[in-house]
Amino acid sequence: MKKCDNTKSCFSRIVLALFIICAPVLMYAQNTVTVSGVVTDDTDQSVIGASVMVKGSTTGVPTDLDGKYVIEVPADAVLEFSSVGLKTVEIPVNGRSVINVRMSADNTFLESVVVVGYGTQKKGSITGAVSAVNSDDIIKTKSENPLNMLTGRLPGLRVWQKSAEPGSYNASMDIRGMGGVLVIIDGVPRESSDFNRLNPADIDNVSILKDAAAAIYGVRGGNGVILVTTKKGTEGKTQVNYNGSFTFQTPSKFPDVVGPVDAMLLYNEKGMNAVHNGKLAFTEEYIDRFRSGELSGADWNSLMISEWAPQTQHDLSVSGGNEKFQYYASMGYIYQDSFFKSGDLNYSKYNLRANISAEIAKGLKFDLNISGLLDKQNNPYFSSVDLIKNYWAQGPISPAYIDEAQTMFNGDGLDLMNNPVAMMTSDVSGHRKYDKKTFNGAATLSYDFGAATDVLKGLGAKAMFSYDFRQDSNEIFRKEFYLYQKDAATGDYVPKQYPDHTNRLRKENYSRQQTLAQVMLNYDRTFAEKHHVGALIGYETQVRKGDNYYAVGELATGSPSYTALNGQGQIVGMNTGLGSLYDIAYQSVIGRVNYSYDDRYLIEGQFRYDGSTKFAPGHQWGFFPSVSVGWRISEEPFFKNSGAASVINQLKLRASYGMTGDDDASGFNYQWVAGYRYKGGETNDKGWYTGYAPGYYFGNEWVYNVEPQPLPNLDITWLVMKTFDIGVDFQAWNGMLGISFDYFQRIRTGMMASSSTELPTVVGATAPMRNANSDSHFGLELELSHRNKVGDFTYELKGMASVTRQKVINNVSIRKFGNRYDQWRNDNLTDRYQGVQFGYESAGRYESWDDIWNYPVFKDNYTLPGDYKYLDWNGDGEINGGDMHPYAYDQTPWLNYSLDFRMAWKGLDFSLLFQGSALGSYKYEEALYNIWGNANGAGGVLSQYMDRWRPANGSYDIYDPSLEWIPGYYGYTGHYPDGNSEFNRVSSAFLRLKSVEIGYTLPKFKSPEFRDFSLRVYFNAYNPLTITGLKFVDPEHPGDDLGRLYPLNKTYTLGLNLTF
Amino acid sequence: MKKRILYSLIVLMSAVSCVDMDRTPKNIWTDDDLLSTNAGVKVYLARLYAQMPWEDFKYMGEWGFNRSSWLGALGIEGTGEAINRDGISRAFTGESTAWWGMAFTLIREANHLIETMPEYASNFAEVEVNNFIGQAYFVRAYSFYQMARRFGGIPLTLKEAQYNGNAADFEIRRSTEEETWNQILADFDTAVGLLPSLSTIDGTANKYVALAFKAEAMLYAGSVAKYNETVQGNLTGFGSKTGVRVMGFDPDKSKELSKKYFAEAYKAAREVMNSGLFSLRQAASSDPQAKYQNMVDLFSDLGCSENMLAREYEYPTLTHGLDAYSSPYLWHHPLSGGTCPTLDFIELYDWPETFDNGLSRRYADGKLRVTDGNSCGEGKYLMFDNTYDFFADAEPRLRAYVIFPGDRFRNTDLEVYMGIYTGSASNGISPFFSSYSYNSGDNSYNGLDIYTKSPKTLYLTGNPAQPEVVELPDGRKMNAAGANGPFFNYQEATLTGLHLRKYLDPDATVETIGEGMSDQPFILMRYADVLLAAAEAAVELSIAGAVSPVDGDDMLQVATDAIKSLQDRAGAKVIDTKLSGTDESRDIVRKERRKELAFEHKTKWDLRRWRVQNYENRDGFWCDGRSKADFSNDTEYRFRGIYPFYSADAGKWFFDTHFDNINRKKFSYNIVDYYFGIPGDEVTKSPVIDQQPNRY
Repeated sequence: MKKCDNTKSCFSRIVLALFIICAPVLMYAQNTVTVSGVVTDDTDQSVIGASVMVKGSTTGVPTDLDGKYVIEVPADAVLEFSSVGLKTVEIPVNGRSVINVRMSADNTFLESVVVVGYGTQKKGSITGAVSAVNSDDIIKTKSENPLNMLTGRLPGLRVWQKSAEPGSYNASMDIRGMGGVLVIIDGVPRESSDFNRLNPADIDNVSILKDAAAAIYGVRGGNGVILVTTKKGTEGKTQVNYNGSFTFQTPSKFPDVVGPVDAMLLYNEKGMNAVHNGKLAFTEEYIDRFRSGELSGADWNSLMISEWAPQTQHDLSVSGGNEKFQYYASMGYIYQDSFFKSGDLNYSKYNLRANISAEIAKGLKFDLNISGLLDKQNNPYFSSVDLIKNYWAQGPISPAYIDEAQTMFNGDGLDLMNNPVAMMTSDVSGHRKYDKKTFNGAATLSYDFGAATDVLKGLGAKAMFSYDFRQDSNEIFRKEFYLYQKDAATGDYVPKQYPDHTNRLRKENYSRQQTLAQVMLNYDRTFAEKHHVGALIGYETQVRKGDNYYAVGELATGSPSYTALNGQGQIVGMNTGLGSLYDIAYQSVIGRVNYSYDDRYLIEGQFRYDGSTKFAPGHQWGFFPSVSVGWRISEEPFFKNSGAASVINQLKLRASYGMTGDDDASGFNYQWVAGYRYKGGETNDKGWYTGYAPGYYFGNEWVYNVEPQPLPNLDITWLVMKTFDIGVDFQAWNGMLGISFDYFQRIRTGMMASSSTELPTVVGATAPMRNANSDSHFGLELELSHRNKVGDFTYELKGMASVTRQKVINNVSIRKFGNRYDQWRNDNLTDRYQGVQFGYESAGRYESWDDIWNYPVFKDNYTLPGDYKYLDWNGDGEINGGDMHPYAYDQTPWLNYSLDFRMAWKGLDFSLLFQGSALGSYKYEEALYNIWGNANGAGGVLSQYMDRWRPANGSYDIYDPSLEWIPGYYGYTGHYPDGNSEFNRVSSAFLRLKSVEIGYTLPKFKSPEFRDFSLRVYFNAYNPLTITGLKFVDPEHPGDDLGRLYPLNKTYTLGLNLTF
Repeated sequence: MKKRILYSLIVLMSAVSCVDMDRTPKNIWTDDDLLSTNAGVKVYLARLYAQMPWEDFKYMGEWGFNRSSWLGALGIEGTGEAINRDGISRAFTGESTAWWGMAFTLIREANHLIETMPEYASNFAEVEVNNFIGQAYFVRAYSFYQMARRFGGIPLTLKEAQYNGNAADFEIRRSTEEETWNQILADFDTAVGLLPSLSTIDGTANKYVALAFKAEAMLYAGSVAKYNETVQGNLTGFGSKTGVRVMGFDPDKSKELSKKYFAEAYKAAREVMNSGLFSLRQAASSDPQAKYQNMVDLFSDLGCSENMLAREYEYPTLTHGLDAYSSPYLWHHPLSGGTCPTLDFIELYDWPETFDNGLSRRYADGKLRVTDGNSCGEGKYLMFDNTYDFFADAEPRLRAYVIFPGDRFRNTDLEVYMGIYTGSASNGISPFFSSYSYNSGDNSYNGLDIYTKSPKTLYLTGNPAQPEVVELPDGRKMNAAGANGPFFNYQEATLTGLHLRKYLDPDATVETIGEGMSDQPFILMRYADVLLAAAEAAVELSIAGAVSPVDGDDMLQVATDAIKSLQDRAGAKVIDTKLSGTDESRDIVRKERRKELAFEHKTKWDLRRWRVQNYENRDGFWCDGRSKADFSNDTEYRFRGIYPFYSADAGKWFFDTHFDNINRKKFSYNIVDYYFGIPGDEVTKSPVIDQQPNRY
């Protein structure tokens, strides 16, 4: 925690310095009058903290607790009253000394500006499916990953956090279930890893383009676009903002292993669960030695996992500026610890950002956005999946240490000598350190021709150049270590080296860079009050390069430095994967025209003519157009003038259709190029003792080989998506009711696939990729909102839900089917909804022997009370493959919803975010499916397995019909349900309290020196409560790695926001 | 000011210039890069050889060519050589990774070299071009051969298909088995004609390597042509899609074909022998210890003139895990006891006629004697001062292949015993079990009353982590089981009392053992194999009444000399009569082959081509007249171990011989298994690929 302290003191010094620099702003006044008054809202409540400014200056005061203000202003000044949620009012002073103001509520949602592709639009006149959220909403969820903070905030954006492993950022996002999203940060296409690592405090707003609105991003926009805008400085007094928080993390549903006695008991049950020749795995005498405490084994739960792990975060930002120059600068720090007791898995990150705007000359503006990032992920040599696997599997009999003093790791009785405590400790077994250094920079010059001549009013030009750079330095250090076994005869401790784990160092260096250059002309003007015309034309180029190398060698000693190389196994190589070694260029022409008549009839056309070097010359360029229309019925005179309908602020119908592409197919591998890939420098930690080795020893000379490319296909190109969206937006009673509803459909054609089933095997080559497959996505999206204010009490409710389905239309990778049944049963890739799972439905459990004897379906002779009954779906009197039928969805939930509740009363604010999903399932595998582990150590007995059917008297004579049985969740130990049955593939539907936050803002100081001082303290809980039928893991925790992924976390955060 | 605006715009606009759109990935090479220089061709050959279907440490019958040495063990495919605790120890009835798709990939790449190399010929001397093309033919011949002995008739892909997207034009049906073997013959002959006499690139084939493999392949073809008829259904039939005889041979031609292939095998083997380039590695003296040591060293001595082709490994670049899985339990790291030779197997070898006291070493049925009665279930156990005493005079070759209980290995006397018997020994100790028959084979030591009932007289250890300790009459304490097992409830130690020695690193320590830490080479072809091929072909040709295919050869004398030289080198009993054209002589050759080439992935193929694994033919399984009823019933067969026990009362050792008492492993093999099924997907996918006619 020393690091943390340093940072804090460093911060406070900066704060002090800034304070001194920016403190007193002297005010000179001439011919002034003193104006006072009360500001109220349309419910006659006084408005606290409303800003009262002299228009065109930086002079201003806030209203006090009674809504009163006093200000000295020039007699001819115009006062500007503004407050969040209320319409800004301008009142000329005209020499008056008392001005009371009544401010009415503002329909900000219609006037608010939303970032769209290459520009902004007023929310009220948008014709595409675009959703946006601003920083106030985002930061109501506390997570180290801004992506998690978006969960449930944007209709159609699906965020799936899979693990809370520090630094792994294991969360995925898509829009409407459509696949990897293009991430644009401040106008530049960047990686989602850049977004994950943004300092959340720097984010100003996020919008997503869900339909053909994304067509302006052409060949990469097909799955939707997420546009992130960072904060900018605003004209006004320097504002310093500090956010600090401390977070406790605790695992969200993480199985435990039981103690030795229980574990051996279950192993004995399992051994005796046989019709003949049942065998006790452990003798009673042996178990008694544990009961008596003579032997104690290992309590892996407490050796491995901490119930609580800390996390801390500090941000400081400074912003401000004047008419010609605005700046926003910030720094952030985060540290996150893991649940592993060794403390060797942790993550820290530093963010720096400066966003500067300057008006160089009239109408000519220069913007500079620069951000830097330094992050460091420390891991033990063994992955968390390995650690969890072994911690569950090794069993409680074998101790972690062999001696009393706990100086020697035990190597006896452990499967493959995998001692999880030794494995998780970097000082013992080595480490993996991942350092990233990222620089993102963009400079923009924009000119408003309107500043030069009125004729050109509305015409602007803009040029941007951006340069991004990322350097990854990874250090993988394998450290030799010893485990000890006790020799039974002599009592000596015998050291045994952990196998295949010599001292070895591997360092990896990845560099990635991209440059982007862009020129834009845009036009925006209203003619004759009713004809609004907007246009944009631009040209953009982007070049992305990735390079890397690694060097690996054996070490003479256990110190992670190349100075210790001993000359063995020294190899320099490179990762030739497309994500690591690349050189890609894009060129694009971008265009948009929109026209609206009287704000009633809206039409917009967009296109992008896009070239990507991922494809063969001659196949690089594509044209991606889109069109969208809107009709604001609420603006129609007949509507506006009708009394009953006037409460409706907005009723808009909109529709869009367009074409987008995707050039990022997996397995694409430049298949239009014929030839070979050289495998030089590829290494394997264990000498390819399993698997194909990319080379051969000719005598004692190792010769790396090549791998032929698949059969080339020159015609290979991007896939095409045709997106259709129709929606309605409705707002009434000034926000008391808001509804937004969309139906969307997207057809993808030309998805890249290679068909090994079409290419005869005898050809002996890998089938080429071609643009062959097609599918469709469609779904519904609904957003409901309600805002109200009763006295001091304001509240807001927002619910959103989206359901999406994917249907494969055609897939060439499919094998041939022998018959219709075979096809029905196994063909999920021809005209079929995705995610359908075949298996057995439950028909309950065998409750008793009578039940077993009388149940009409054939059962095996080893059936016991508590065993599983399956539905005889085809009614043939027995349970076999023919009874399997669609009964569940896959793990991806097709229905996602959230409910956001917000309220504020005086200084208190409170927010709740519920989030959930349905139409998904989870299949327990391996260790989560049954007792899976080292049998010699009674391993793999997770505590859930104790909840089982068992004889009441503990007898092992289980086929004795007189036995009384105690029911449980599982059958008698050793009997588990069919993996593909309702018993084991369980609905993963859940409703969770994603985030709850309660904050208190200190009342404003009345003293003018501290009028900008604001302090808010808050408590936030993330994932505190989950309602789900899934018993043993978090419903979002994926089946990946057989359920052994690092768990999700629940976090509890205390923090403060300080502004002055 | 206007200028300032103008210049600013110009500066930024100029940054937005056109980018070069002609970019291909940096790591793709072409034929020009590869085939123009020696180094490039070597890279190409490294690709071919890396894909070769070598059956070595990274191969196991259960998995096929998945190129994994995980659980590395040798000879565990129900051949009787050894058993292993896991499901990977299973009769050789199929491979989970079929040699089918990968085979066509390799053959395509060989064809590409054959067809493309001539375009680059001007860069090389003619002998080099011939060598390169010869390598490709050798690769193709060997790949076809590996397919043929699995599947019979196969699609013969002799050209690199220039696929144009029209699948129908590129389908190739399975050829007849006859056409297939003829193509293999032709490809080997082409390779022999092109390859140099000495490998110009170490580790690649030369003319004689190609001849040696040709002999092996032709022996397979000749055997199948002949012995298919000994099996019900004659193992032939026609594909249902094409009507082609994809399995077996035309009964009218099979005799002639058999002779033809045996003759080719003989000729090829003789050409290797007549080259004078190769010889058996000989011991420094005729002392059994020296002969034993010679047979141990043979497998690590790549320079000797016996070893013709080896696949090399080198830590840490390319490794395997034999020592990690198949060492005795003392070197458990992380597993052990993966290859447990059987008692039946060691009974194949030569033992002295009698014990010192004159009692014969074998019972009347040929089994090794452990009691003074007429069988292992009768009389009293024979007593020994040390466990090794029983084995001390065994054939040196056997000792080089198998570690006996109490023998020395890695500077340790290998402690192996099953248990301690504390009952009285004054009147001798009677056999533990009432029956040792096949049907009683599931009985176990830990199920015996003397172990389970009180007071007990038999002490065993179930798990090495929880050893039982016995106090001996002299007060000494002794573990109930040997440091290396067997442990009755623990399968990561020996299951049979015996351990593999062949190929294990004799100098390894626990520290140098690990899953990816072994780097012994695997000998893919050695001269002994060639001698055995010559002998077998000669005897088969004599049985068929054929004349010597090599002018001037007395085939049977050649065969006799070959067998004698092997037996002499091995320290075994040398036959004293000349072999003849009889089944008895044939079985002498076969048995010698089984003994010599054990644990080299050869026996499983031999048993297959001799068609002696199905129940009806199983009498021929051991090639020494043993009755199938001894180890088999009509569905399954199983193997025995030899379990040393210590008599606390007598202070001596005795042996119980019993069917695998730890794992009770059984094997089964049916007629249909002599040909592997064609992978089902391939049959469904293609309109012309036939499934085997005897499979549905």
